[in-house]
Amino acid sequence: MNVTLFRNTNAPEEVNKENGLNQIGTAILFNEVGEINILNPNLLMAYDGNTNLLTANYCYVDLFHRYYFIRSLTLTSARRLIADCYVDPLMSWKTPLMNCNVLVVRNEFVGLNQIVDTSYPINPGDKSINRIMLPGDIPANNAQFILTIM
Amino acid sequence: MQINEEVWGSKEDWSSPSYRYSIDGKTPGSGRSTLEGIWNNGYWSLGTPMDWSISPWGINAHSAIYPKYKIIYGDETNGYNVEMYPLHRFDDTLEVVDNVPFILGASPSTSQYGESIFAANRRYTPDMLSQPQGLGKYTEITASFNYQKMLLVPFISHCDTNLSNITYSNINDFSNINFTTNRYVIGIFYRWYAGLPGSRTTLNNFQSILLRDLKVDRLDIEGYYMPYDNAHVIDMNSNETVYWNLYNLIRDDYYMKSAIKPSLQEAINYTLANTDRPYGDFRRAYFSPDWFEPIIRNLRNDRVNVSVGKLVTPDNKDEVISLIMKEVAYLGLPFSKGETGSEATFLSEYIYLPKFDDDGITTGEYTNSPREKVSMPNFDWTDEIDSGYDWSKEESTSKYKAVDSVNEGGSALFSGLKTYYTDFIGVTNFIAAINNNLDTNITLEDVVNRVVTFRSVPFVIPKVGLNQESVKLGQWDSNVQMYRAGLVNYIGAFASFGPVRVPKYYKNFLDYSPYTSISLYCPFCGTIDLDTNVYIGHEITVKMAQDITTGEVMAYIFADEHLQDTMTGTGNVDIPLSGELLGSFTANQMRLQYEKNQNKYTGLTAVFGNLAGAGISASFGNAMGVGTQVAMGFENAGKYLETNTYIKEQLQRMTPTTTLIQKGTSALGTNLEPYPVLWINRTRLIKDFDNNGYGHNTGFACWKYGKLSEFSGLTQCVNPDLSGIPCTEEERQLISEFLRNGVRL
Repeated sequence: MNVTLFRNTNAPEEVNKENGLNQIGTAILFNEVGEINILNPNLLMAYDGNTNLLTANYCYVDLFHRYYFIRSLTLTSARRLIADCYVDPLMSWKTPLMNCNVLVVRNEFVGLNQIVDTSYPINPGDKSINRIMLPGDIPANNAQFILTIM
Repeated sequence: MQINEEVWGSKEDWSSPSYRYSIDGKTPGSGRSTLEGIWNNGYWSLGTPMDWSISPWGINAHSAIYPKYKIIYGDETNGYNVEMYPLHRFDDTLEVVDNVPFILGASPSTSQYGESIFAANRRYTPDMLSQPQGLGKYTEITASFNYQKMLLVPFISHCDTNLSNITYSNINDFSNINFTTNRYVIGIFYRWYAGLPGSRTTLNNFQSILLRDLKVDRLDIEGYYMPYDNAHVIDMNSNETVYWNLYNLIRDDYYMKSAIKPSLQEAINYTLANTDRPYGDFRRAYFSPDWFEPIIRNLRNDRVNVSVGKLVTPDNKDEVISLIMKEVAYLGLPFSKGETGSEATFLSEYIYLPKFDDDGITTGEYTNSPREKVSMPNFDWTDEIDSGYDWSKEESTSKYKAVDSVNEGGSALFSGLKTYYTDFIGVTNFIAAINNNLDTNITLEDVVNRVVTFRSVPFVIPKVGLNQESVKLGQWDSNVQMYRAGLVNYIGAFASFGPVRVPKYYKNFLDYSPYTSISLYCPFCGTIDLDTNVYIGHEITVKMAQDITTGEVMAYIFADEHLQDTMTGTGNVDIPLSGELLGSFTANQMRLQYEKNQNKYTGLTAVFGNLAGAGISASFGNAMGVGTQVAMGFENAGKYLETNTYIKEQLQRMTPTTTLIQKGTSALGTNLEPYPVLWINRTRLIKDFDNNGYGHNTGFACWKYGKLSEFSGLTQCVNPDLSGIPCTEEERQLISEFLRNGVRL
């Protein structure tokens, strides 16, 4: 029952946070607090005095197979560390999640050009005029005349 | 079409074309200031680092030019260096990456064509696609043209079997050569034409290109290479004459003109990227190393056998031409078989379009008919969905043919009237004849009573099948020949304009209403708004037909070949000569005026004065009464009508009184704006808009269905199917919330 503590620099909405996770240590999880909500747990851990652990903002609990954001850390007497956590469902379930079928309405790289995107930053007051002449048959200097007589 | 990175490599790996010329690798990124490349969007580059969001042309590996080029440092003993530019694509370390841009040498120098007129440093793809690169001051009309209307004209360089008597012929001329002896095709070079016709008088010419304030004439760009099939091998040891001819050929025509002394290279730090290098009029030749390298390496020592290109005989000439056209098509640029004299008239020549495969690689094939549709991925690189109407799925019965028949349309003549066609000279002669005979053989009453209509029309009237005859007023014969329309002849005039492609600019929804609006001005008809969905990205053609008996003009507006819109207007300008038109009052006025002024003006001038009055009144609408018109015509006669030039100008400069009219007027002359004009009014993006930043922070509208793993970056979803995740319901809701607000993958 270990808690792996990380320094997370990813944005919360990042699904796979592996690249931005810097592991700073592990701690043993005690089960002394009675009830634990696995989505919003208060994790009671042994604190070995490693001050690095106090910079953790993210953790993984092998018992729950889940990743958590650390809302706050509380250092208690008797070398205990309490982490107030809430689950990161994206990272925790990233593998099945990535296999889910979705309808993507906006994407950073793929866009369908012809969908009207009202967020696109156009400047309504700034217009460009393109003038294209259609070349063709009218003679430039030779008017034709019609004379009808009776 | 999306870029297939398996073929083209990652965009991050694409190199700037200017790196290519830093042969020593010392000054990567610095560019030359002469023309050096054409890109797949149809633009050319100066060597300044350009936006590589667009990859270079894909030249098929089957092309003879593909594997044949490499850099050669030649003939150091002689103190010269031969440049041979690779047609491979290089990265910073000059490692070949893969596919190649078509690299062009450049004879236009900065001094000849102005400073950096084609600087290529645009930031965004839409700009790259739709505007000339560089200073951003060029008219968009030029851009619209360059967007698609650039043209290569290949010239075949050929010589006799002794490698002498070198000459250049375009494909048309080459095919017309009457071969008496065999010749070698020793290379192909190109002239590249781009831009608008310079003026109305060079309407059909590509010769002049108006960019900024410069008129840039034809760009001579020479890229030599030889078709490789069955190159002929010459035994150099056994043929002294041929050897020295070949040596001189290289020296004079290729070698010396691109030579730079080593001392000069030292001065410019051995880089060819220095813009101060004295290019002069050096011909930037491209060699086939297999062909020339042995010669260059062994100029005076070992003579080796070399291949000198394809032997052309009278029998295989067509085969060679076919081979050459295939080679040209590999370059992926529109091309033409020829030009005429010094002024190219390509608009009357069929323009061959190269065909590409799905990855944007040329196939060596090309179109063979004007209406053959060809995928030009270079123009559609950023397009995933082509909007607008898909004509291919529509049944259409309104092809061009339907309108062409209007040429024969119009109203039949009334019996008993005689209608003649003539030009300005005919009018002048006719009026001169009247005045010479006035009051002797004919009276003014005869004139005003017998002339039913006298009109100018703007279109050329087809005279096929018509005969000329002398015009008679009653019994009086004017002896002026005019074309007479027979009783069964219809009187119709016809004109065709375009086609001109209505370009996409952003290549997205901004190209359509309400962000973009297009309107069309048609001479004699006015201006209408057009549906962007129909015309954007398609060719617009205007065909106009006129019923001369009524003056009514009908403009048929086509999107591609499909009739879409029509406009009506009046094209005749009536010139009130006769009592039929003006009534007896006018006739009396004319008589009185004539009698009053006959001592001051000649009769000729009087009649002309009346013409001028009509012209002036026409140009001012109907503000003036008829009587005033006539009087004014006479009054003005003395002031302005020194020569008939004035009349001519008046008749042809009848201008509309507003810039935007909704319905045609009868007095739109042919000289103000005789051609249809398309106006495209586009919304612009905010200044300094960062497309990539927008994608990162906001995301592009996507609406694609698929597995989440198929996407990357910021991704916003609706209605995700999360059934496969063995999580708690609360977590599922959290995930759903995340997906709605956007996750990053």
